[in-house]
Amino acid sequence: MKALYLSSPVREALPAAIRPGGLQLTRRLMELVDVTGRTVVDAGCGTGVSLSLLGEGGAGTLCGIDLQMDLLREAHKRGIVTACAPMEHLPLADNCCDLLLCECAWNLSNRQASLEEFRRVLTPGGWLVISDIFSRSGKTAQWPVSCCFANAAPLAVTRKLVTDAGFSIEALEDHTILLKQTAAEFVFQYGSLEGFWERVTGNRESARAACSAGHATLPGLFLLLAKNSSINFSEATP
Amino acid sequence: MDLRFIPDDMNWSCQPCGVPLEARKVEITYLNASFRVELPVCPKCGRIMVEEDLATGRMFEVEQLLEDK
Repeated sequence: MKALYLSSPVREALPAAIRPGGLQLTRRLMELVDVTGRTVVDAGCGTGVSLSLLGEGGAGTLCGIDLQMDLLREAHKRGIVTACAPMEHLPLADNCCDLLLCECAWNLSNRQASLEEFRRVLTPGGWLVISDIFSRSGKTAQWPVSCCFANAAPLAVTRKLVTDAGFSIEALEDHTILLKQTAAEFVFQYGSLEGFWERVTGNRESARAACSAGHATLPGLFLLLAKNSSINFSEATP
Repeated sequence: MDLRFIPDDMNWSCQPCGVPLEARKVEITYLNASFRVELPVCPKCGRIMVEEDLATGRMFEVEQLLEDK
């Protein structure tokens, strides 16, 4: 079974920015951070549409990393420099970028290992921006399909993971309404959430399991902005 | 997402205005969420026709979802 973000109902509905709200949270990040001239890495770049938007907004060098070759080909067509690699092992030099973006992809990785890698490639003081799913109920559940919901933690857990990895959180916003709106559009399209999940998973039992997991965890959507608080040796030495 | 809810027979008229309904894109808003949906609309008074199946089915489930029920 394909991961949720690669399933046909999701790809048909969200062809470019494959996540709830499309580019809305990318635009929000551009309100929070001046991207002008920044070297940007997008970990889990998908089709590269976010990097294109940041490029139009004045960002400098753009680099997209993803595991899906089909998506990377689309990013390449947009003129993005790409690499196929897991975000826990970025094929990048230390301190090479000053903005790292990870939109609805972090939960699909080993989150702690990814954060360590994000910190390694970011310059001291560089910006980390993550948007992803969290559990509003504080509970976890078994999901019948690989998806960003499956690894969703309460916001307090995310906050601790990020600060323990050496970042200072500058903003943490709840954008659950964008997730609800996307889910509601799937209800309109497929008749019900169960109908949507049945199209994704291919069977009714898994669809019911996905709906039950959703009721238990109450998925939400967050946007986190954090600064790499590590200090360069050269800066620390008097 | 292309959301279209036009009856197979668009043989409907607005009773007060006496004009045939037309398929038009309208915006439905509920609890800060809004959706662009194509529905039958009276071109004169702007009244929108929502069929019972849509109101008690998909729209009801969307309400429940937005209300966390």
